[in-house]
Amino acid sequence: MNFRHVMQGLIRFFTLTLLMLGPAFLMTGQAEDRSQDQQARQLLAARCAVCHSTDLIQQQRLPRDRWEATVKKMVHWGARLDEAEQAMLVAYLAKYFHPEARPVVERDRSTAF
Amino acid sequence: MRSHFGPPPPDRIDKATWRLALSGLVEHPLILTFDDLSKFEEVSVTSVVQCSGNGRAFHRPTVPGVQWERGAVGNARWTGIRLRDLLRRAGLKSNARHLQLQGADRPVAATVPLFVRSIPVEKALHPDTILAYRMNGAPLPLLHGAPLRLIAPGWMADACVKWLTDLTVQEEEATGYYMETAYRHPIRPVRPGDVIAPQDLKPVEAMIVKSLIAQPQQGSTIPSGKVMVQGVAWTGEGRIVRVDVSTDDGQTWEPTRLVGEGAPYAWRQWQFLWQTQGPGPRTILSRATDDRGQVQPMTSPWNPGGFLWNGIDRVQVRIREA
Repeated sequence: MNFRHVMQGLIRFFTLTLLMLGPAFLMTGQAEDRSQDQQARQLLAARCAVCHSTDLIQQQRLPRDRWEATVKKMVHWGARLDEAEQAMLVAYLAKYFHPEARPVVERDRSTAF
Repeated sequence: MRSHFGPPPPDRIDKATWRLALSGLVEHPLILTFDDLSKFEEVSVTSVVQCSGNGRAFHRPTVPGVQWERGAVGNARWTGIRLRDLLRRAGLKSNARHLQLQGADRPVAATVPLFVRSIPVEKALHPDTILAYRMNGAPLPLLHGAPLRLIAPGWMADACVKWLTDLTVQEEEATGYYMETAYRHPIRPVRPGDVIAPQDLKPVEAMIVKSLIAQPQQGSTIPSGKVMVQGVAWTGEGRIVRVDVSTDDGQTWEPTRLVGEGAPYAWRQWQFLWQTQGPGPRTILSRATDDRGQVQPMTSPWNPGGFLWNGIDRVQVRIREA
């Protein structure tokens, strides 16, 4: 086996590896998002729903700064969330329950007339 | 039924051991048992009880809080004793200005502020303000505040504290989150994001003129021909004098028939026989007017708490082909 064969073998190996793992690399971002969402949902169940229903959260449509203020208020009132957990929760809430999300109330009265 | 923390545990409101304490700026502090209430004259009042946030979901931009649409309101006959009679028995001191009300309900965590409210002494001494122990002739149900709640007719329900145990006469308004931060409303128009000075926020008190369409229901398909449109209307410390309906997006309005006798504080039913012309989608609007000339606006002024929504009610229906 000469040097050329070794190099060809290595190139084939890396090409194959890239072909196999490429989609997995592309998926990593989404998987991370899913995992973050899942963790945030677990926090909602474990730290928020101990005092009130999650309906109260899911019916809100708020910009990030209002979510930050709301989570801070809840921590002030005794919700057990450290800084990292608060940040994760705010990111999740601002991502899914923002003002442009599908409205809970389908008729927008302020623009109806 | 809405409350901040849910009903108290049964032992805190058991009629056999329950007590109502009246203290603070009074000559003779009182502690009453449930049976003691029967020593006062019994009175009744029919009154709407409505959450201050009823209709909050219709404010734009959206505001935090329970996204009520229309359902956070009811109307009932309340029976009990005049709060005034109790206060006179105790004797108010000359510097008495506010009555603080607290119930037996408690939050899940001790770090959450208690639900404590106060009303000005003028409202507390109003002859129609009662401590109610019956609702529609039956003992006050648990979720409505058994054994005793305040009914401040014409005022929003945040004043009508349930599961009452402690009345305290004070010179100042009650302190705490539910008085100093929540249930406050700007006294002048504000825009989203405006910083509102504390002196420009006052407690939510009286209700304002409002109507709801109960039938036909939103999204329903109705026959071509005569269709009964009906609903209710109410206001704060006054009465409804007319309700108009529009079926052409507000271009023209027609008066409805007010049903029964009008009574202050109660809601009034109204009916309108609509000769539909279809087929196709239509929008029904209702607009109430009270005896002080207050008329429902198209939309209510935006405010950060999303309180006091009383925009014209609106139901979309589809008329079936004849």
